[in-house]
Amino acid sequence: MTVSFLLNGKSVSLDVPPNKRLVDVLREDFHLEGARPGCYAGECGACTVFVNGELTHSCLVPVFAAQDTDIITYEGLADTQEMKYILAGFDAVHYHPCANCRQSRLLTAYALLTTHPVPERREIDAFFSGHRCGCSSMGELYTAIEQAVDMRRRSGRHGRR
Amino acid sequence: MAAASERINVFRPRTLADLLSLKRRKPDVSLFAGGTYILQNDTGKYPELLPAIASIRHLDELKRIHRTERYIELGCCVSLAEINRIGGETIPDVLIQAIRSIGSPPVRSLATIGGNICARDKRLTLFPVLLLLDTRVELREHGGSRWASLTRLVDAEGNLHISETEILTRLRIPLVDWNYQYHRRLSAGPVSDRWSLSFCGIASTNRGILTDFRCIFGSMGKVLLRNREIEAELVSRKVPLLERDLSAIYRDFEAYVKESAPSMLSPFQVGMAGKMIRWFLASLGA
Ligand SMILES: Cc1cc2nc3c(=O)[nH]c(=O)nc-3n(C[C@H](O)[C@H](O)[C@H](O)COP(=O)(O)OP(=O)(O)OC[C@H]3O[C@@H](n4cnc5c(N)ncnc54)[C@H](O)[C@@H]3O)c2cc1C
Ligand code: FES
Ligand code: FES
Repeated sequence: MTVSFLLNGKSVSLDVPPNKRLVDVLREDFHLEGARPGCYAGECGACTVFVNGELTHSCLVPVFAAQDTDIITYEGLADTQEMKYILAGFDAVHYHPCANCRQSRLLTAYALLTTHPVPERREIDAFFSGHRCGCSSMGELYTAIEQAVDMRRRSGRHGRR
Repeated sequence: MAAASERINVFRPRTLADLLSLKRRKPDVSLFAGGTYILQNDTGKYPELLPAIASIRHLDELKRIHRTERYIELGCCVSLAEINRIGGETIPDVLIQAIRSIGSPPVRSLATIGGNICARDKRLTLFPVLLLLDTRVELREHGGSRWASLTRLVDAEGNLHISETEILTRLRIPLVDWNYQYHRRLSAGPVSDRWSLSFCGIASTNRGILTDFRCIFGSMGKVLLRNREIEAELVSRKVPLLERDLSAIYRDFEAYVKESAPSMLSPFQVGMAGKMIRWFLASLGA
């Protein structure tokens, strides 16, 4: 079937089996590899993208359900100033998520910091509850997020709170 | 394992009227709302979908929210994320607590409230909560509609009485000032607690008297555990309840749970259920 949607701001259309998962469409048909297939069950968070402005597990979206939606992937935000603060914050405290989760965690941090410029720890917990991680601690994540907030503050772009 | 399939017929009605007429012409078309329940146990590269599907989540008519002084009305395709955003000031807090226990934000952004009620083989997390809140739902099919309370939609075995041709379009939740609202998942252990036992309790008190009390256990299959006799017996009692009354209720409840769901609950869960009720009752008026 033919499916059309907005992808990182551009209108796209493709012929695709309706039961192909959005995460695989992004990777295999559009070569956007930030979202990765992990569990295909909505549990690991590696496939996270924005659909209509909301964080969504793209493995749970058969492509037909993406018709007319607005999809933003990590690649669509990689060059934004906000993402640069997040990357710098993560680097400064040596917080390096594994290759499978890296981009989806950056995207989740982006969603968190755009809605909660100075997030509390319970807000960080809530946003990251869609990621399952066996290799790093929440403590490391808190420090990385706090560092990103600090980077932005020092640059003069204060959060709204 | 399912493969890429061009043979799946996907319909995308433009309006509710289109959807109703599609269901009349093709009653076997199955509805796909958020898809999070349909897909959740299917971890193949290509999920196995039914041959004819109607995608409904984009329909604005099914996403409306309307509030009056007496109730709030939610379209079946309002997402759990949206309800969570509206929050416990506008929507009974116990429903918000239950929603927050489901999946994670990226799951709740897809999941709809209608899909949570309409799963056939299980009464999912929100069903017992909405039932306790006296929720009524609108069911429509081509040429007709009916309103029904959730209590009437399930029989004693927990089977859902919504016909294959009916679409659940709206829910109406009465707005009552419950003084006590509590939802809690009672995990079965370290494994996934997605279908673990859940407790929901609501109560109202006035000048030290219990004026309404309801509680229910659900989420472990089709059957919901609610004992209206125990509830009725408690109404008009003084709160806080006396220690000996709490112990008597605990015993009655444990006996009821053991009798009604002998094979469904582990002894650990029966114990947890009893403790949960006792704790909730002890908190009233304390
Ligand atoms: C990681 C993960 C964790 C989860 N945890 C929980 C949990 O803890 N508790 C829980 O309850 N659920 C859980 N779920 C399941 C699911 O997310 C929710 O139950 C959700 O509310 C289902 O809504 P949906 O819109 O996705 O339903 P869908 O999957 O689209 O539909 C479910 C069923 O209802 C039918 N249907 C949908 N809408 C209508 C309608 N308007 N009228 C008639 N029939 C309809 C469909 O045909 C289908 O049979 C989880 C899912 C995932 C992936
Ligand atoms: S692949 Fe989507 S959540 Fe794991
Ligand atoms: S960051 Fe990927 S599993 Fe921990």
